Amino acid sequence: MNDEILYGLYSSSLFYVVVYILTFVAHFAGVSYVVGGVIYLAWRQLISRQVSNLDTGISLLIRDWMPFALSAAITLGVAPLLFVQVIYPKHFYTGNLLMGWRWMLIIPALIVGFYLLYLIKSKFFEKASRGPRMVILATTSLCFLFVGAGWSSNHALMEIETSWPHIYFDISTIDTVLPSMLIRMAIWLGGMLLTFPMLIAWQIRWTGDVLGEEMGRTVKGLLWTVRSGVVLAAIGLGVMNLPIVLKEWPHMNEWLFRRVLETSIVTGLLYWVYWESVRVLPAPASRLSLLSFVWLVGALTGGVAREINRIILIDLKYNQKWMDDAAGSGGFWTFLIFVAINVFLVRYCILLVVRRLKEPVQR
Amino acid sequence: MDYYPVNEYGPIMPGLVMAGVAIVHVFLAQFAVGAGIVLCYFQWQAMQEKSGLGKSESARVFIHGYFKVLVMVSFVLGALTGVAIWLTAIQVGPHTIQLMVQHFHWIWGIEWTFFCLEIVSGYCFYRYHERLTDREGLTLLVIYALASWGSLFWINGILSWQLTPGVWLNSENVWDGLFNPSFWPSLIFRTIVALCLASLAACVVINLMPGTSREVREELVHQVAKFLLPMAGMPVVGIWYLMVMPADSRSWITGGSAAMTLFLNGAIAASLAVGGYALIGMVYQKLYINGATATLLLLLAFGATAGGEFVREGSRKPFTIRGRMYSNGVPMDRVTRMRRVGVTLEDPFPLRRKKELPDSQVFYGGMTYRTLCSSCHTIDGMNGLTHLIATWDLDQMRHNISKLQQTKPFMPPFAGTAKELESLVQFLAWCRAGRPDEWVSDTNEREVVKIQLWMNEAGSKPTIIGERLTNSGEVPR
Repeated sequence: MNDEILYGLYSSSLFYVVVYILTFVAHFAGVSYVVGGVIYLAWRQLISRQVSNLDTGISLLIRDWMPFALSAAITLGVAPLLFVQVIYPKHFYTGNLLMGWRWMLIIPALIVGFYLLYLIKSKFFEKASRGPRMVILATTSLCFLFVGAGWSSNHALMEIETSWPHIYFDISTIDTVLPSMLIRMAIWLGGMLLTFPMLIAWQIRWTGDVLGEEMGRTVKGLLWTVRSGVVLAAIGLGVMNLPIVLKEWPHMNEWLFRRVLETSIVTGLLYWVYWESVRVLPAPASRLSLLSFVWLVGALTGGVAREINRIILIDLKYNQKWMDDAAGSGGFWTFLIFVAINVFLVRYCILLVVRRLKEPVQR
Repeated sequence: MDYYPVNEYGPIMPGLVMAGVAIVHVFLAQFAVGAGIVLCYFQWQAMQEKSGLGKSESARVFIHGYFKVLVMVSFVLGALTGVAIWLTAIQVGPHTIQLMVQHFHWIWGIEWTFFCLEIVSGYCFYRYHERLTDREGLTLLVIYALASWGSLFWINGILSWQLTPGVWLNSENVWDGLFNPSFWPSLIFRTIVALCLASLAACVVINLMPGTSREVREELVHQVAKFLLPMAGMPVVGIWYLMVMPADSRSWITGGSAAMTLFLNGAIAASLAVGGYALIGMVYQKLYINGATATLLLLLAFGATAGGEFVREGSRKPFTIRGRMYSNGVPMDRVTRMRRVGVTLEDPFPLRRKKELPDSQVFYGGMTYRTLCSSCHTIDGMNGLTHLIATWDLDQMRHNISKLQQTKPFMPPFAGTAKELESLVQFLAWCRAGRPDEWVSDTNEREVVKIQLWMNEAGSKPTIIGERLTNSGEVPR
């Protein structure tokens, strides 16, 4: 076994944690498009008396792309699901098992939510009146919020090992994780609502002029989405009594943890400030790239802070031998080769389509 | 060994919960693999100006409709049932999935890269094929087909490793594990099944295509029936798979276990029905197949898939990972220690129905049942222990469970102490008696001594028919 590096992590476990965070951030982006998109559409339909409100501009774009975005989010979610089992097998599996049927309902909720996204994309939705549209959008939102709540509850359960026997014996006490789950949900939802406008801004840039007369309203709508994200995240962090926690939890005074958490918060605020200055979409690529960089730093540091918190609460030393064995299991270089090959092929597929769209076939 | 909370599913045995999810996923996933290949062929056909399909544009109409079904069914249900398998495996066998993840996570990672390619290439084609040239469309479909078959390639290695780990047991080399003895017959068989499912599903879609004449539908059915031809090779590949199976696993499915034999015969019968109709009727006689018949054949194919998967899973017994881990999640190399230390001492999770239990003997029996038996059995539901021991007296129960691996060769050796075994006997007797409030366990120290002697006679190794065991209890190839 190598020497400990930090927080009970050795080279093998640190490697897996880094890979987990990177793949999780990719998955988070995909989920943000879907959850942010559904909430955005629901809000637009709620505040507007016009049924046709969702049939043009970015609303149409969002309705069209959400099924693919969910496919992408689920596919991207396979990797962090794999690596979380390498790093925290005992805690992740126990969380799963304690939640039991509540956990297993995630799959039916995702299936229903997925098909509802296709329904939202369909002509049926376009022809529907405001009432049925709201029902469909609300149900879809609830499906994905349920899935998020399940994952957040699992995470919360992972961190309270001493309570496991009691929760198992009296399953009603699983509600003890409810406050923690709600706080996490607020922060996650805030993060998704912050992320969603950035993805839309890129999509508008790539798609071309889809906004027309709706640009002003779109910019305003995305700005309010960002603001909502900031408020939600602030509520989540505030309810945690972050200022007090920063003083009282021992690991909160750890130099690295504090810097990472502060960086995540500061980048979130910078990101918000940028959006307050947006007047025109599509934004220049250079500004979007800078915005995306800020977002990436915020998302990665947020992910790191989340993991440091979890690692300290869980203490991975019990698992170190198992993880060392896992690190020696083989196949990593072949994995990298196939990552390179398949990333190339993914890029090839996308460029093939993009080139053809720029030069349509003469039929 | 880590202890995990154990959930119950009422009268349903956990293995069936797993089987239900897995069968649906395998069916949909294999359909997606075959569909990619079928679509490539039809796209190529559409590009042949001299062919009937090329002239009539019917191939293009078929491709559009078929891909829509692929997206709506396989991209949604197929993907999510795949995740469901993982979550279900955690529910019913956390130790197994933990070991599999430890050794094969990079192989799963490779499979994941193929998923990503599958989704991107698939959606690119689905959204834009009408704006692409034929060659570009074919390129995307070929990439999609390779990606989906590629994902099958890698997961097949992991799944087949569970039954035939081969030299991996000594080397623990990931490539030895992946390219294990049953890898190739399993991969070829699944590819044939994939083509069959895709072909039958295509026949259903063809019959649902609006505005197409009977003549056009006939031509499409005749073309897609070509993909049923490989079914002629299924008996050969199936026998190949049987031959590389461990001898004891082969014996379960060829008469040793009534349930396994029934499922295998059912799968073979269904496959023969589908294959016979396909090869004789559709390929040789060029019969037309209407929607109802196509649907019936597809359902038969589903039945064959279900039977086959059930047999594949069940034939691993007493192992979940052959030579390494038993079906109840107990590692083979821990049995000796657990017989010394026990399974209840270190289990942190209390019994949920503690208040109902009449005495401490029954209580420990309940805990022993939960750890060692509940992964495959229920108490009085499916595969219920009270049914299995219905006519046994207490001594028979003690003897048969002490020598469990000899009582039934597809059972693992009992992995608790003699006292825990006696507690299990009392627990089962109490359950069999209807769980009365008033109960006095009929036990004494002499029984525990007898049990220990029987356990020593049987030893801590499994009974493997037809093979020797190494000194470490591993099964050599």
